[in-house]
Order: sequence, then C-alpha cells, then structure tokens
Amino acid sequence: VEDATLVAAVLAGRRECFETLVERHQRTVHALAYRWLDDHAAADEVVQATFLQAYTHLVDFRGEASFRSWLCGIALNQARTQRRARQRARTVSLDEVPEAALPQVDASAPETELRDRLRRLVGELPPRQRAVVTLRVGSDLSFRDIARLEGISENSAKVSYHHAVTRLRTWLRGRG
Amino acid sequence: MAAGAGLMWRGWTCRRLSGRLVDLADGTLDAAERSRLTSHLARCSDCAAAVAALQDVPALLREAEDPPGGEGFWRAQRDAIMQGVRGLPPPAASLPHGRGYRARGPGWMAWAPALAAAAVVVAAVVLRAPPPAPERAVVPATGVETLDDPTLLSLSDLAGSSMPDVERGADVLEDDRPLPELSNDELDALAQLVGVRER
Repeated sequence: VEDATLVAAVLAGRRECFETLVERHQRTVHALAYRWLDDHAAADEVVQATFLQAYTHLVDFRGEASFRSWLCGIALNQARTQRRARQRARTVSLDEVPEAALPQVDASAPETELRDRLRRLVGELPPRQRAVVTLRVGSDLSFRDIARLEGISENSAKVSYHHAVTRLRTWLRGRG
Repeated sequence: MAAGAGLMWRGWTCRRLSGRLVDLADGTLDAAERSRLTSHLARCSDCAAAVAALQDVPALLREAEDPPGGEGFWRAQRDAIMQGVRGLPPPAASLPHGRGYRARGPGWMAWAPALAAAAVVVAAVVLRAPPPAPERAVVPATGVETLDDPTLLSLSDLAGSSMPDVERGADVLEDDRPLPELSNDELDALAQLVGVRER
C-alpha cells in the first residue's frame, strides 16, 4: 500500500493506518535526527515529535513530494530546534562540571574511531552542507526533494553536497 | 600569464561541473555526458579526486551508522508514538469526510475569486472617478523658452486630436451604461472584501 493511500485512510478516520507509516519511516527519521544531533536520546525525542506533528498536520501533506520527503522536512526542523535548544543549554562552563560527569573517551575502541570522527566532522559542516549531506546520505532523499525542502535549486543542492563531501575528505585526511 | 589564465579557466570549468560530478558519482548520467566528463577527469586531478571522494565518503558515512537497537527498540518507539497519536484529535476533524488529502494548487489560487472581484471593483472605481487634472495645469507658464520646448509643443498640438486617454476618460464619464453583471461568486467575494474593509 502506498504512503499516499495510507495518508488518505488516516484522514478518513482510520487512525491505525498511521502506525504503518511510522513503522515504514521511523528508522529514516531517526537516522536523520541522530546525524544532526549525535545523540540517541535526543534523536528519539525528535522522532516522536516529528510523527506527532506529522499526524496533527497531515492535511497539509500535499502529495507534491513523497511522504518520506515531507516527513524529513518536519524532522529536520525539529532537529534544528532541538539543536538550538541544546546549544542554549550549554552555557554552563565545562570547568563547572565535575570530572566524573564529563563523557569518557574509550581509547580501547579503535573500530569506533572513524565513526566518531565522521559524526563529529559532519556536525562541524556549515548548516546548509550539513543539511544536504544528512538528507542525502542519512535519509536517501533525491536532490530534487532536498532542494525543495531547503528552498534552493537542485543544482545548488548538488554543489553543496559536493563541497561537503570534499571538505569531509580533506578533514578526514588532515585531522584527528 | 597564460598559465594563470589556464588555471582560472580550469577553475571556472570545474565549478560549473560541480553538480555533474555528483551525478557521475551517483551513476545517473547518460553515456554521452559520462564520456565527456570522464575525458575531463583524465586531465583534471582535482575533479578526479572529487569524484573519488563523492563515492567513498558517503559510503563511509553509511558505514558509520549507529543504529540504536533491535526490533524491540523500534517497537517501543512506535508504541510510544501511537500512544501520543491516540491522545490527539483526528487530523481531518475540521474537514468534510474524505476531503483531507488532495493535491492542492498554489495558495494564491484560493484567492483567485476574491482577486477577480477586487479587480472588477477597482476598475469600476477608476472608471467612475473624476478625470485627472488636465495636462496643461502642470505646465508652468514661465516664458517663451519653456513653451518653445519641443516636448511641450507637441503635447499642446496633440491635445485636440490624439490625446486618447483624456478623450476616453471623458467618454467614460458620460457613459451611463450599467457595469458588467457580477457572478454570485464574485458578489460573495466582494461582500467579503467589503466586510474586511469595514472591520
């Protein structure tokens, strides 16, 4: 059953059909949020907020793009809001935090090194490039859908992606 | 100098190719364009390295996925979402049954009838308004030099014969024909507009 059919069914009163949409897309939304926030608990919150907002505003889904793309747009906004809130909350100086409360780096886990570095580096990309990479690699959206979500041209989305990837490659080679 | 120009040209070309290199790495180019780009890559190490990065880095990023758990995690998350959903009113509660999902046109289309009615009203107001002040009222009578200005002279000469706007305005003022009849939709939209204005 196509997503659009399920959306129509939910709007016609069959609320249980929404669970199929959640099941289909929760991993995509979680991957997007996790890439954006680098935190499973925060990503989980974004997933829940995204689906609740999607349900509430289901009548706004116009079917111009795929449901997944529409959902990713909501998720990206939620993740951005969450990230801004976290940045505001991080006004406490690290010096004020007890040593035991600081995250511990596990030096004996080299297999996670590349993964951690990549996540950190994606987080350091300029916002537009981070969004494009996250939507492309994390959510597998087409450049057309990404362009629509970001309000840019398809070629601009590709150029941003190109810059992001070459920057990540340079950073991976040159930084630890 | 020539080498500098060559580098500049190459940089310009490469920037233009940026999006195409992404397509090449994704394998979405047709054969002719792929061949053209491949021959460029043979001459341009920067673009060749970019294509390699466009193939390798996304693969690394996908490998770096860190899924949070097994099916139990997703099941629990789904349950939590559906519990939240059950506490919400139905999304289409305010719409007639089955009317919720539809492909909609641009938002301005909803305003089209009101805009059409507004255009009719504006046209009526303009056509019924008093005629604009005559052109000569703005001509300063300052002297022969001014009147000798060829532009002003041509205006004076034309006033009696080919000043179409002035002539037409006078005709319309004396025209007692009724305005075009409005449709019900236009009248409704007009009533709405008037209501808004009165508020």
